[in-house]
Amino acid sequence: MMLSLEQKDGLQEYMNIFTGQAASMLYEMVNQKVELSITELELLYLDDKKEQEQKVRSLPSMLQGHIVSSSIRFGHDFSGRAHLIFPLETTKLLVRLCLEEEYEEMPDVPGELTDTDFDAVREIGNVILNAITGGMGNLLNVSLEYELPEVKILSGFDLENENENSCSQANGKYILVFYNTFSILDHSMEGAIVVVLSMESIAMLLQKIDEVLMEVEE
Amino acid sequence: MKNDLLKALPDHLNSGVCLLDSSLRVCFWNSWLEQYSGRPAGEVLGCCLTDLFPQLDRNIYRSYFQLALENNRSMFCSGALHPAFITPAGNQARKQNMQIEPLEVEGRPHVLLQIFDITNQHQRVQMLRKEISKRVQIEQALQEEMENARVLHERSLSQNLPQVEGISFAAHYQPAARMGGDFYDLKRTGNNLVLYLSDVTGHGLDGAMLSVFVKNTINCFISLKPSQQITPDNILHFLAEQYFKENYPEDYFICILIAVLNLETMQLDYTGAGFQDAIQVQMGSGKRAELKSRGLPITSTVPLELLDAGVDSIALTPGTTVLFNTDGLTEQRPGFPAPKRGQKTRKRAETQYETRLHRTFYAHSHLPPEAIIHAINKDFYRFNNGSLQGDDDITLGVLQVEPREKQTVQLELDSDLDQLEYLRQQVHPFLDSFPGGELLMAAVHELAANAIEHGNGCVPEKKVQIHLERSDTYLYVVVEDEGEGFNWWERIESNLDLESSSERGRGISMTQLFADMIFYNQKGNTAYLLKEVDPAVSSAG
Repeated sequence: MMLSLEQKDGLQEYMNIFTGQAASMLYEMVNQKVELSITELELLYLDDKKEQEQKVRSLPSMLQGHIVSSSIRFGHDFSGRAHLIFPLETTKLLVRLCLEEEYEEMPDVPGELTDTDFDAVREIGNVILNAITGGMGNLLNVSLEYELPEVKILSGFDLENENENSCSQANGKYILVFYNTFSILDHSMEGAIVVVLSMESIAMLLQKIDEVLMEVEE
Repeated sequence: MKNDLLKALPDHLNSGVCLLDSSLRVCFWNSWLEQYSGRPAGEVLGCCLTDLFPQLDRNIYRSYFQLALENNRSMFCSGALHPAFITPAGNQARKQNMQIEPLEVEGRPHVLLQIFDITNQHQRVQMLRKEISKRVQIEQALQEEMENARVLHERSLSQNLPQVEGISFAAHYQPAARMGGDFYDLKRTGNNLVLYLSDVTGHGLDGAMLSVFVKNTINCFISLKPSQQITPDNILHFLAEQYFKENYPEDYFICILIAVLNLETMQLDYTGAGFQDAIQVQMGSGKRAELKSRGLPITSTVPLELLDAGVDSIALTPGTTVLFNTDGLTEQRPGFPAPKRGQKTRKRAETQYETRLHRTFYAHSHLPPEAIIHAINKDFYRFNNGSLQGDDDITLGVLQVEPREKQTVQLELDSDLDQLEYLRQQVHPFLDSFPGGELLMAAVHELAANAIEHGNGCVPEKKVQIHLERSDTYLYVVVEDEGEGFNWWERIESNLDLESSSERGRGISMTQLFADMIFYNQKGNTAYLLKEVDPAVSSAG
């Protein structure tokens, strides 16, 4: 399954609407102007292990080093797992910018994220991922069940684990990778939203996008 | 029983539990919240939560409650990003996390709120941050001091070795850590050339401090004593005496090799203390010798009288080459890049570098000292899995009594590309009769052009020194500029794409085609080119 140029444009436009909603919530939360935009997207298909290894190598370097992933699982009719991913160093900067008061008069401290930082990442992930998956649910007119986000530090995005754990094994997995830019306080940070979907779910989503595109044409 | 348990459970939790209906009116308020807020359930039940706690009357929380009620979403609010959701009794400053979840009760949507007081955790994190920040500052200050110490220690190593007619010397030093415990020096005093090589305990600041002690003590002895008293055993004895006076701890020691070359008789006297590696000698006559030293190391646990290992001597004839080195080089065993699964440490090769060192030295001992050291470094780099860094400090020095038959040319150029024509005029006759002379002329031209253009940046006041040396076995060219140098080892030995690099690369690449060896000094501002030649062909030419 490949994305046509029109499908790409359609998906990107919807995603920008969803992330825009998340940005306005984040604005109220951190009291700073927040901008979130999707700059590029791609659809990957995961099947055999060999292909996964090639895919991992072809992922941008941003997803291959140490990353922080906030993820939620959603279901039923339209099911999968959504991840908000930032490189570890970017996450530290993001947290620092969002928790400006907390970090006041603190020099830049290298090292791991603290529990407080993790909580902040968890909430930011919660807002963004909810806006995206909720937006997709509304678009498809299906109700979704959610879990609270899980935050992990990973050494590279684990495609293999996604293939094994996300949803049904029957027809392999599809991965929608949305590359995004998160801007706050004159800082612009690159990250990615990765949505792992079953074949049925991606087919549902693309069919809906096609329908919308046809309506627009008519 | 089950109903009783379910009713009692929320009141025994160590967190706040509150249930809201679709109008955000409080339907349940557990004991923890009663105590925490100082508001009994009877006072809050039926009231709108945003009226009770106006801080929750914000769009963001209303959206979250709405998402839970209408879209079945769970939301998490972090205490790091929000002020307290529930005002505590006494209005103390507290930090809280809040979890918002949809819950259907009696067929109607509700919102379940859970409040977690994270004040203690938050304070611990703040304290931890402050502690880390303090340590980072200490670490930075320490690193700065260590860097200053490294610069001082590096300066204490001989920068300008004495120029002695008929003798050439080159050395290489590679500390295992930022600073090292190895030290060498070469001093001329009257008709004596004093050379010593020491290896002291430790690779860090302590090793560097002890090395400076060795240097200062020996320098003091050499500068104060008359020439006839400057013998290896006298120097060693004085060093040991001073060491004992300093009362250094028992676990420190100095291993040292001291040699004195009489420049009139060319007799080399030597002694050692705890110095394991024998001096390798390739005599001008073709014979080889291994000079071993027998003494114990200088340490506070070995009495002074046991240090006397005696002095041995050897007469150095023209063309003799001598190799001195510390055991960091000979004892190096390369480690394989990564430990295998289940191994705690890296597996190491069984063979030490010693045999290969001697083989490489003797194979190149007819070349100038810099070229011999380059050949050894290159071989060691391959042996040591692509690294010059050893587990211990590495020092090696090569002293050579120059062969009798040798012609030299010395030139100084301004940093102007027009000077290359002058270079050609001066050097061409010297190279003309040498096999492959035209190609070598092109190579010398490239090195000089590199030095003028990239080394000195074409600043005319900066000079380029060119030295050409021709023996019956090689042609040797040294081109020195006044520039900052460059990381030549990486560029040449790591086989980077020299052709595509803009600076120096093309010149070096071309030069490599004509020469047997092309290398630079450690700084990278002096280029050495060597072309070997069959003695029969050379003399015929």
